[in-house]
Amino acid sequence: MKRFWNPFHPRFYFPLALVVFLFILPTLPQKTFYQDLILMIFFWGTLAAAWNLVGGFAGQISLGHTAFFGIGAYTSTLLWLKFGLSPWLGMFAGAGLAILVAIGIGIPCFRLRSHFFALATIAFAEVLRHVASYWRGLTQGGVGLLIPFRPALGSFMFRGKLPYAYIALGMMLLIILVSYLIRHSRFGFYLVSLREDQDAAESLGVNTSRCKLIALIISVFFTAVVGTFYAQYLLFIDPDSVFSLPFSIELALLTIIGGLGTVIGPIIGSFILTPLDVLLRGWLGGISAGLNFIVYGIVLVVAVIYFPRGIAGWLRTWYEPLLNKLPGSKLALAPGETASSQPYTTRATNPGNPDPPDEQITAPLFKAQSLTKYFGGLAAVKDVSFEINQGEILGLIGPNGAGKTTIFNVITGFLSPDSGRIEFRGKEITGLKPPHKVCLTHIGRTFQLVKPFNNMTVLENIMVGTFSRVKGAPGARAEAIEVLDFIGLLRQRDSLASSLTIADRKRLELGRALATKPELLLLDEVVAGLNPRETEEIIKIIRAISQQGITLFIIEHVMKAIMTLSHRIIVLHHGEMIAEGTPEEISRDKRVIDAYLGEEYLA
Amino acid sequence: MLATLLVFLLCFSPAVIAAEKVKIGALFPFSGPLALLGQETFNGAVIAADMVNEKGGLWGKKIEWVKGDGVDPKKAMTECERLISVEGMKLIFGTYSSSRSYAASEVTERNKVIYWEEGAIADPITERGFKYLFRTCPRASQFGIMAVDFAKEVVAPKLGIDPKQMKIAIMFEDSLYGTTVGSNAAQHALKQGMKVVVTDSYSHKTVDLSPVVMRFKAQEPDVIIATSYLEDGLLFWRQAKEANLNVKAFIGTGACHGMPDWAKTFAEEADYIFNIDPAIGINPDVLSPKTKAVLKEFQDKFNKKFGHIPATHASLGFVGAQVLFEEVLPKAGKLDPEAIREAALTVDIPKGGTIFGFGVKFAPPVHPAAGQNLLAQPALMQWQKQEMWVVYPAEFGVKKPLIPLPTWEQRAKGETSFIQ
Amino acid sequence: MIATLMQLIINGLLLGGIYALISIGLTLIFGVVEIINFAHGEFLMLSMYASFWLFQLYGVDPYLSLFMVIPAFFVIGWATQRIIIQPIIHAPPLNQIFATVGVSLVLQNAALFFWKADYRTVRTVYSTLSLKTGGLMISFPRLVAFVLALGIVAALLIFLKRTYTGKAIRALAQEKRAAMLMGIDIYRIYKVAFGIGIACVGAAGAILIPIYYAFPTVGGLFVLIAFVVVILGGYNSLVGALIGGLIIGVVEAFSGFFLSPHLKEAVYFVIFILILLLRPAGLFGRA
Repeated sequence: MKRFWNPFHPRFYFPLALVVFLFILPTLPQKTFYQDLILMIFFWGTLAAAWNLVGGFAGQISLGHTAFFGIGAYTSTLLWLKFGLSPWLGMFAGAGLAILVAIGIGIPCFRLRSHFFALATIAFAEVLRHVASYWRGLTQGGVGLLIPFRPALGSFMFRGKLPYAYIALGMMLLIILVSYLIRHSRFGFYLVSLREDQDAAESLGVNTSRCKLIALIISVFFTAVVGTFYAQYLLFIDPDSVFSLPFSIELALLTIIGGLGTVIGPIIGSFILTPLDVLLRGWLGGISAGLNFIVYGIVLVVAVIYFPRGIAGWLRTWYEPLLNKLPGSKLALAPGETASSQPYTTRATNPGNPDPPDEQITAPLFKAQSLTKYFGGLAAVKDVSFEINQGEILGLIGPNGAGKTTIFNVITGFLSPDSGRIEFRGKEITGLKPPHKVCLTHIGRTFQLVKPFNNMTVLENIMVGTFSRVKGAPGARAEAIEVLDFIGLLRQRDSLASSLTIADRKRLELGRALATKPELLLLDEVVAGLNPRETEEIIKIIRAISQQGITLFIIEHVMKAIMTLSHRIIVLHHGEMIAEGTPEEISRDKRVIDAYLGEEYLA
Repeated sequence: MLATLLVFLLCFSPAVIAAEKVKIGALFPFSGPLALLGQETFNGAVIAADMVNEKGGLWGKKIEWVKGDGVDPKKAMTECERLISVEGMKLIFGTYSSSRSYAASEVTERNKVIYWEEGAIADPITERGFKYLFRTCPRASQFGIMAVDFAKEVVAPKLGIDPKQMKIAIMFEDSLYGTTVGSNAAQHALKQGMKVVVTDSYSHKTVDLSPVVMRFKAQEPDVIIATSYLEDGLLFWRQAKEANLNVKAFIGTGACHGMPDWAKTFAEEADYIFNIDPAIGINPDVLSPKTKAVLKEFQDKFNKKFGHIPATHASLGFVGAQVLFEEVLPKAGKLDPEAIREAALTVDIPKGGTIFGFGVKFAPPVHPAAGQNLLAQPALMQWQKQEMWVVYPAEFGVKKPLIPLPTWEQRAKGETSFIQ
Repeated sequence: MIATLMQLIINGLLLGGIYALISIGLTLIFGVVEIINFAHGEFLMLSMYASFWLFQLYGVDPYLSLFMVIPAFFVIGWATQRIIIQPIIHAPPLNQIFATVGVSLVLQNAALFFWKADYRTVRTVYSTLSLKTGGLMISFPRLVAFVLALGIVAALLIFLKRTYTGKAIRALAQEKRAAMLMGIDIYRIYKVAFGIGIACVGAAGAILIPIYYAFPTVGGLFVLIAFVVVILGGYNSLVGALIGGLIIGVVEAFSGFFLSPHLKEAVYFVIFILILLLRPAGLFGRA
């Protein structure tokens, strides 16, 4: 279905006007020095926006991006100097090589925790710098490479600054477009979700490793291409200037101050800091050596502590009112639509085919046989076997440390069992890893300590779940709204997840897992921390889920909840299963009373 | 909004302010690792300008410097751009460092602005057929070749070693300067059939040269030829002492080993090191009477203004500026690149005409080394009693070379013994 | 050949002692406060300058200046923890990384602004003194650095084992919540730990100024080495920092000699990456 956009609405013509202004901008100054400045704004803006894909959207702090910049610069330059290959083509060769290197670095390093990932990227870039210095035969080492100035389109060299400025502007607009498309696509949601909480993202079917890698590849492509541009503009490169740690830090600096993880943030950062830097240095000459960086350092520290959202966050607050003041803001965005919220339909909470819980369908939906998991010398789970039938609610209880969450983690791919067998829908899934694969087999889970995607709205949180079933954003949104309606969070859909109460967060967690349309849903202490009224409400939702035909496997400590909900219960103690049966049978079982319930429960 | 801000700033650009001065751009590393040497070189040029200004200036106007800071080659290029496009410079004077000179002169040539190089020696600088580039000082190849020739013609016979059996170790910092001198030396040595037992390059910003010291020590060379900037050169000598690395002759090739800091840092331990550079402590008979007077005036004025006698780099700055202000610009008549070019090509100063003892004649554009002063040549000097004296070639020489270098033990005991 | 190998080992160990000295503070901070202090090198740079100026202006010998530098830097560390680190202690890693990166930028460039980029050195009678034993040369200032490194590690280990504050630090490093429940004022302990860590690097600076030049970016060179040592040794182990430093020193000496002076730094970065990927806990650390 095609959407027409209304060109008279400020939401469209205002950004368009800005783009037109950007095109006019390079022609304004007389002095080449200022043309150079504008060019540098576009240059840094592109680089920062490219870094932002990895550091901002995906939250992977790379401090080694200079490596890719340098590879791009050196590759195209060497191909030009040695073989006369046009830098336009050499650019892609450089990007290709940089991408290969990035994959080589990314795959092993992505599993490192953030601080260590940052250190590893620094180390990689440093190794490259030393290699470039040392390998004189290839790179001329510390002497550097100078490109003789022979202006021609094919050799990517031009007289005057304007052609360079427009190429830089083109790159910047391209990366903005790419960032925008990513942000509003499934891929973008996945990136942000893995940044917010990697485990939760995995449990919702997000292939976090692949997402990080794709973000890295796109980022590296742009960074390397800009590296070629740099070489062609300055016509001189040496290891210290293109493989420089301060360069990597500068990218991050611009992005953070502008607004990490936003589309426009890095661009804003460049528009503010680049002129400041160049003008300060140019005017104060030798006196100011270091002065500008002192300012940046202080700004960075202050920004990181007090304004982590950067300038973009602040700008956003007056962008909307500004748009509303412009002519045309009352017009429809597209035929038949208003600029306000999308329409939605209510959904009955009782569809689907409810299976009578007491009937046994032929083969069990889920089967665990002799599951065992050791941590060091301690058996967290020992020889546990049980079955779950289609449509039933199986409860899992036991004292703290009995191994309940461990079983969940083993089933959902966060841990591998040391021995045993797991079957789901007749197929073996023992040790299936990573967790996103388990999600794709239609097993969903929640976490004991809720893991909301804090910087996303409630609706967006759910959408991460629905995206596992629906590829396009509009469809994912529509389905997410249905889920929100079902769990009763529709009113808060545009609130940030971080602003929710604990009860609502539990509901969100539930809804998110539900959004992946699981056949088997594992709930880990959903009721913990809720007051009686909230408990009742969530129990109602759980029942409704079960009535939709979804099989449930629930860990709980709140006896009232689990006894009323479960069809059957298994009891774990010190990693071993000590009892299995109906709630009635369990509450009378001597071993269970001794280990867990206590005598008073009977009363 | 940004545009209006920029236009606003443009109006206040310093270049708009009217000038009754002759403004010359000065591009040197004024900050960063080479700052000391850059500043020292510039100081020599400052004296040359002062001397001209005292006599009424150039075309009746005072000479004024407009500084650009070439911290590294990339910055040198952007500073050069700024000097040309914002400050309106028609002539850039610089640069001491070969890598900065090489990069920045690309910018001036593109913009048809004169680049006047006083002290960066790498050959490739004048091997590009540039029309607007002129260099007054000698070239790196001459340094490297002279070091090897000296080892072969003077050191080997004195030690009674067959030159083809003499073991040479070469070290150089890895930028354009060091690489050109070092590779030239290595090539020439091999051509002469001498043994180069180890060649090591290193980054001049390093904090530790002990790997180089160790590798040299393992080879037991007779002669070390070194091309170092200041701090790395000082570091190497300190670590050589720590490791007890002894050689029979140590030949520096410009930069560190010709600086006053060398003597200041090491006192007696600085003595007997050789250094190749344009001649300081030259045989006065080589100079013309006029030049002798200029030399005295320069030394006095420099000492008065800066507190010490000028050494090689200040002198290089001086000579480059002096030739420019006293021979070229007056003939050009105005600060116009074309006029300056033509005037420079007519310069013909015979031997003895500069304080270094060499003359000045620039190669024409068709020459493979266009813009190079073909009469420039270095000399080989030795530190004796913490003063530099020319010892080779003979006609420039004032004192005799003292060979071999005392060992560290001998130095510690205060003993020295030389083969006469 | 044997003599060369022995000399390389000596050089490597002495160099390693220096690296250990710089890294001890970093590993303490890392193990307790759990922050990677990207500005660690800049504190080293500051203390090198401090000793330099004390020598230049007042003639104080660098080794004597230790008595002034160590307490001064303890206070600086305490203050840094209070002002910069405290607000971000619960912040996401990105914010932590860039807060210390920001501090590093400010310190580096403040040094550049006030003291220019010239290389400063302290020349004392013993700066180039070498002890000669059996054909091997042992540089005196480096030997002092080595011995002091051992001494500081020993002193710290005793402090951590015997004193209440020391035990509190160890408790905090092992299990934060339990430490809190035991009544330990963890915020005060953070400040103490950070203070000690910076005091260590302050001592390192005073000890190093007779050996190395001081210039604004010298910290950057050493901090990367310190990271390698800390990760190699295990980021919450003092003994690990010591052993790790010695290993890196020897590796550097050997690779500089057998490969090339250019590549010696590349080698330990490669080791660094391998450790991060294969055994992130390092040699002595707990996973």
